[in-house]
Amino acid sequence: VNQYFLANTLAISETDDPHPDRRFCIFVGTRVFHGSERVARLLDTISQVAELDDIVARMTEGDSGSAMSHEQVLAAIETQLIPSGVVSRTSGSAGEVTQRSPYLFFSRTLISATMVGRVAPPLSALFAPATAIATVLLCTGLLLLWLVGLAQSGSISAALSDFDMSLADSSLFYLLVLVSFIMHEFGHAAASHRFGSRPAEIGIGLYLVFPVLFCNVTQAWRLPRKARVAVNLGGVYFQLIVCAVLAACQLATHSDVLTLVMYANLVSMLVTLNPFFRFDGYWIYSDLFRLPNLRDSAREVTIAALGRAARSLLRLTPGAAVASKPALRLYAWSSMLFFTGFIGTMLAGMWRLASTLPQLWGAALEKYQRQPPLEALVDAGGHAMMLAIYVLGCILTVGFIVSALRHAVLAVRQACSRTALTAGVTAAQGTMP
Amino acid sequence: MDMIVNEQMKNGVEFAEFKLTELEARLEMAALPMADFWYCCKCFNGGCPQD
Repeated sequence: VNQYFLANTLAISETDDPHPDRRFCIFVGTRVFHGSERVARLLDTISQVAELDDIVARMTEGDSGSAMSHEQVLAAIETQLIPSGVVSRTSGSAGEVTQRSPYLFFSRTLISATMVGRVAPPLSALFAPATAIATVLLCTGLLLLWLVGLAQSGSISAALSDFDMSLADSSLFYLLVLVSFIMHEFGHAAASHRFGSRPAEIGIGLYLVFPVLFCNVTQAWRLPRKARVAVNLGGVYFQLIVCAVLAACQLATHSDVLTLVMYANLVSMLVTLNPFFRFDGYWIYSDLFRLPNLRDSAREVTIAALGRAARSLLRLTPGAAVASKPALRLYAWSSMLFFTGFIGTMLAGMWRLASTLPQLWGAALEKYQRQPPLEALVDAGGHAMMLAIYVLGCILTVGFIVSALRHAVLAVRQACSRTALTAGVTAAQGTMP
Repeated sequence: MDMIVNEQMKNGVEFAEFKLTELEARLEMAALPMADFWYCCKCFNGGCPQD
């Protein structure tokens, strides 16, 4: 008797995506999928009955839009559901599943999902439309006032260049930066709660060379597009509020530490809107243009184009162009240009660091000797940690690049040999144009 | 059973209709100020040895 079981608990919701393959958002445990109406119905049926005959009996009835024949049911289970690990032939077994490649390393939870779930609801009131508009206007006004004041008193670098950071100052700086960034993450969590999905944990990890804080809002996949964009913007919105509060405090106290914290926040707000790294800008672009798995899709577009270029160079039959949205093609090519620049800058930075390491080491030692012991210890610890993160990040990034290049070369070679074979067969049949 | 599946594939069943695409986890990340930033701030006072 053929029996099939779901690997984990199932939750299905309808999306607002017009594409038939993305009509439903399907959660199987913590994994999330886009699927067609038939797949969603099939999974729902498997969650209720296990035997193939029963599954088929239920799937063949009903309207023709989602009904499936015996063969279709079997084919869908065997070629889609079992290989993807969401269905297995034995109860309670998830089977051999290849998870999506992770993009965050050494991630650790800072605030548990339970705690985030408690704090997010009261904060979500800030996403009521009238409140949000008034808050954005007020905070932007305050920030502009602060920036005008700063411009009148001299540039930001001039304000910082005379600034001698003591241990107390740097502790306050680190603390305020951490609080600002945690508030940024709570912005995502609060928006997620506001629009009806459950936010999970807030954590810390390493993404390329960047130490990052993150909020896991994977449940937001079930939300409509506009709500997802609001979740993406929630972080910058909360950081804007934090900046306005800091600006008011800085205007009142004229504290240099606060100026520095403001600077870190403003730079971070701009960086986070960059769509090429997987920061908030990435999700905004992905959601606005309905391009799920944007990074992978962009890579496929680039590899397909490189394959076509290689075939053209080798004078082989040009392969069929892969249909893709203009927004995806624009992203794919801009992303390639951006990362070429980023990798160049990173390599130059590594070289600069390696070549000036003796001078840096000398300058640091000299500074530690001038400092009180505790301050020197904290400073040395901070430097060692930053250097370790940077070097580790560089190694990881180089690993990513090598793996991506290997993947691209293999894919292009495969495309060329396949076309060569097809071209040979076509030529033998005498239909070569 | 495998034979039936293979037969179906040969007969050109619309597999796109049964497509299940796994989505990436939505981790909304914010980069903490980078190492360069910290070094620069630390060096404001005494000048950066890299310059």
